[in-house]
Amino acid sequence: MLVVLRTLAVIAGAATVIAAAWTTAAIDRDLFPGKLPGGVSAPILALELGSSEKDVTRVLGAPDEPQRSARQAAIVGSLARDRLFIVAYTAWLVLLGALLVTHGVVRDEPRWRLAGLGAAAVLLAAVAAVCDVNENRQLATLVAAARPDPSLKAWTLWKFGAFYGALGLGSFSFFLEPGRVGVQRWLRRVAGLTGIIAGVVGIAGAVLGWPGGIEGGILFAAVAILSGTVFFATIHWLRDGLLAALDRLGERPVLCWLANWPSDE
Amino acid sequence: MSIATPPRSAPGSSTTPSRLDPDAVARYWAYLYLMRVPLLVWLVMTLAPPLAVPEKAPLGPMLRGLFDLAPDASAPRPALVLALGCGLVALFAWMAAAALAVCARLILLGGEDRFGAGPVINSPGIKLSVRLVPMLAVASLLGGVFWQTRSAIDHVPGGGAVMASGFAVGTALFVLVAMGAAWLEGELPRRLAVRMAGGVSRGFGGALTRALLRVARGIVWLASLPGRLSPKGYLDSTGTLLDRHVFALSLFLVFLLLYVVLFVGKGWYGLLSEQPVVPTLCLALALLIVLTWLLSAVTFFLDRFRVPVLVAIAAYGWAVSVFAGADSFFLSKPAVLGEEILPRHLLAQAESVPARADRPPRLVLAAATGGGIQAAAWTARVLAGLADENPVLADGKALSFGQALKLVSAVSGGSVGAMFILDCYRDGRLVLNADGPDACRPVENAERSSLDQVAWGIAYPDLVFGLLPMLRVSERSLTTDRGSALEHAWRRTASLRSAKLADWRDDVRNRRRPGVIFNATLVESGKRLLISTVALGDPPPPMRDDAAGGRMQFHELYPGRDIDVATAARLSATFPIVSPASRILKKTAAESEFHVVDGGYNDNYGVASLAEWLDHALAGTASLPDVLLVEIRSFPVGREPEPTDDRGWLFQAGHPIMTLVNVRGAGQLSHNELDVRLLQRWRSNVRRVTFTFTPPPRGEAPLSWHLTPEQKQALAAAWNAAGLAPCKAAVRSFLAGDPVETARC
Repeated sequence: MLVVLRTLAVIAGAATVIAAAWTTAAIDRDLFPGKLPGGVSAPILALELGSSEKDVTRVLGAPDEPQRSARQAAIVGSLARDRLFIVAYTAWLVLLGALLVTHGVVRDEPRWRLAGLGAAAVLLAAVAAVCDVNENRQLATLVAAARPDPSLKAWTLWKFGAFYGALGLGSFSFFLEPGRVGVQRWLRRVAGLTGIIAGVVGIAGAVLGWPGGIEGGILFAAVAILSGTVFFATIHWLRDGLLAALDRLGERPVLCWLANWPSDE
Repeated sequence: MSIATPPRSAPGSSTTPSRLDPDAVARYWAYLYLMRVPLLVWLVMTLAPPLAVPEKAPLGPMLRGLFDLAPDASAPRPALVLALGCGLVALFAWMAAAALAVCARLILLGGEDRFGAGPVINSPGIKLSVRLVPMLAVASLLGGVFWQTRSAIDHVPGGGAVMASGFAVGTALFVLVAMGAAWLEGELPRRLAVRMAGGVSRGFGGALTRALLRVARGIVWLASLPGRLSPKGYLDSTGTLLDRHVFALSLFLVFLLLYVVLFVGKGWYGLLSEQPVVPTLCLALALLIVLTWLLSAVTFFLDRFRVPVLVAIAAYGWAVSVFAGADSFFLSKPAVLGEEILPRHLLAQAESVPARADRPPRLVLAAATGGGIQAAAWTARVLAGLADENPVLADGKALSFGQALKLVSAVSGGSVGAMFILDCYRDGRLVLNADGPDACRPVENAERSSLDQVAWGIAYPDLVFGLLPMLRVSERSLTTDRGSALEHAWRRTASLRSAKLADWRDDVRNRRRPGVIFNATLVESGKRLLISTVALGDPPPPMRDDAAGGRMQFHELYPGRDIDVATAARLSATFPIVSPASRILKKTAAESEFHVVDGGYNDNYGVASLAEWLDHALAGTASLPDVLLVEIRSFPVGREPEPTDDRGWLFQAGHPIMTLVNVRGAGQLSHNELDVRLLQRWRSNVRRVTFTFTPPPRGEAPLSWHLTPEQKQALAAAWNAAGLAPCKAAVRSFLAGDPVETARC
């Protein structure tokens, strides 16, 4: 069961990273010069957290600005790409929660608190996905009408609160993985710690309505998802450490030749 | 890469403890430190392409040109040039990777013996790592070259396949080179020994064998000298140099051979031809390889004694600075200079529009900003464009631009563009794009890359003479460096190859060429140095001391000396790092002299010298000519930065430097504006037009002497943009004798 969940987590993690990179790279930051409201650097986040018409104008520009339609198109395009991201990160968070549940529900010595944490993570992941879908729908309306919707910010804060909550809880699953050596040990620590930090900082941002916390949490979350994915993906290959893995590689036919050419020995 | 830590955590052992082992962690850090030279070079090689090639990459303006191997559309046999370039880049990239691998391996395998850093088992994993990790750098470099070049090789049929073939051939060449090094290390000494033992001791063959053996023994003896001082890690128990060091030595010797071949190749086919056949990237890689070998050797020796390599470098730098040849020089010759050309003399050359003889005479003065090759290209494009649009008219209804232009005050890159324009004067007429031997194409010349020559200067004369300045004794060697290589690149026309400042001065006197001020800066005083064909003369009495206090004129500082026009432009365009701060070479290198650097340090607009000249010219003149001041700016100015969120003690520590840098821009601009405005208020007959290059939204200013095809297109498009029309119309009106208002475009 654990092996299956880890394998699925690798796929979901990789999809999350690719979707996030695609969404980030596809939006032309030059279209949005100047400072965004709330001091954030992502235009979509600025719209999500914007509370006044002035905020919306600062992001999209005045109605007579030539770049306005290009900015609107960029936001709409980004929302379309966001669908893949929502599916991917929800799957990742659900799988982290499922791993926690599986670690907790062991036959001889069940640890129900762990299982409870895992279930909570799964639930929060679902809440985050629902909020995100709703938020995107309202955001599309806002971009078309250029008027802020008071409920948009609430959906956004709920989304981030649930997302960071699920990530923070789910990240405990990394510490429950069996003892590893070398690089694996470091990957596990980095993934677990950055996931928990992202959870704390992000929840603080969502609860306090602090844009810096929400955006800062994204950086930690990115590191957590990336290192966690690599951790799961290399569990088998790096089981005895990096050097042992390289030794095995170095004994394969072609690589063995490469490892000994040219030789002075 | 893992470091074995026996006996507790032998690699591959399943009993490795899961808790943190401080000793193991310390060993990792120790080896990371010991391998800092190959690791840093590896980082440079691996990260340079992603940081330079993609659009908006942070190092793009400085390094992107290195990865552009696209031959000019006009180059003969472009496919061959491209394939050759790719092959050479691949070969040098592999050579660099091999240097990294060999140096890292020497440190890993000798770490315990020489530094006590803990043993490393030479397992298949370690062997594979020292080969695979450097290969990443090769992949990154070749990928960067492919990415940057592919979009600019539409004129080469099957360009992608040509590049791939080039890379493959370069890789195959490297395999041969590596085999050669292995043969030098293992097979050659064995065969020589066998031949000697077999009694081949007579005749030519025997003599050759003995000579080869002696040379090989001599080289190995030299290489093992450090080992004799401190044998650990160099010599085995019998006192013989370890095989791995002999292999490293063999590879280094093969590289030295390639280094010399590259020198000859660049000399014959690169520097002397318009199209560099050997890519500039090869020179950069050659430099990295030299640094890898050299610094790795020094750290390998000194780290045992815990002597930081930076201390050794600083000590060596200080020690060799006692040699006079450790400085950079520019060549000057004694000359008999005629009477100074004062402002009033040039003013007298102003002409009236023939059809409007009742109006005062009119003259055009130009100020060109600094900004590297972009400024050079924009200056040449604006001046050539204005000359093209305002030619000599037979009906006498307007002056031609070339005829009305009387003085150019230029800074840095602007000086280079101005030089190419003024070079096109033939008997007082600006002759552009003529065919035949007199052909003058200033825009093409200003846009042409000079990166290759700078890289050659750094990789050869600067490197060799920087390490061994005592070898610099002749006038030629003293004045050969990356600065002189840049001058060489700019002598692109027959006339510039021999043009002296004194000749151009005579031309000004005889109305054959406008005057020029190449603005530079003196390091020791911070004053402007005006390297010019005209003189300012004494300032008006009330402000004599103050006005003259901020600048010096070349002919006052160095009376009776003359320099090449290309040298004057180069001194004005001494872009930091790209060109060295130089001092004049008169009789001997030991004389104390000021160092000359870029004019942009003091005034990047060229207006300060022009305003001073104009002030001298107009003071006390009864009949005032109409003056049009053409400002050529190679970048948009005056954009207000936004407030930032910077805070904390790090910001407090760094803000003085940030402020100094920002004040240089803002301060110079405000002085420039104020000077011109005061001049206009004082003299109502001074008009001003400003031609500013506005890059496209995604454009970036190059910080090396290389323009990509997109950047050249952006410059051409900017000149034809509708936004410049009011300024072009103002110049046209002025030359036709009509009233003109100040215009900014």
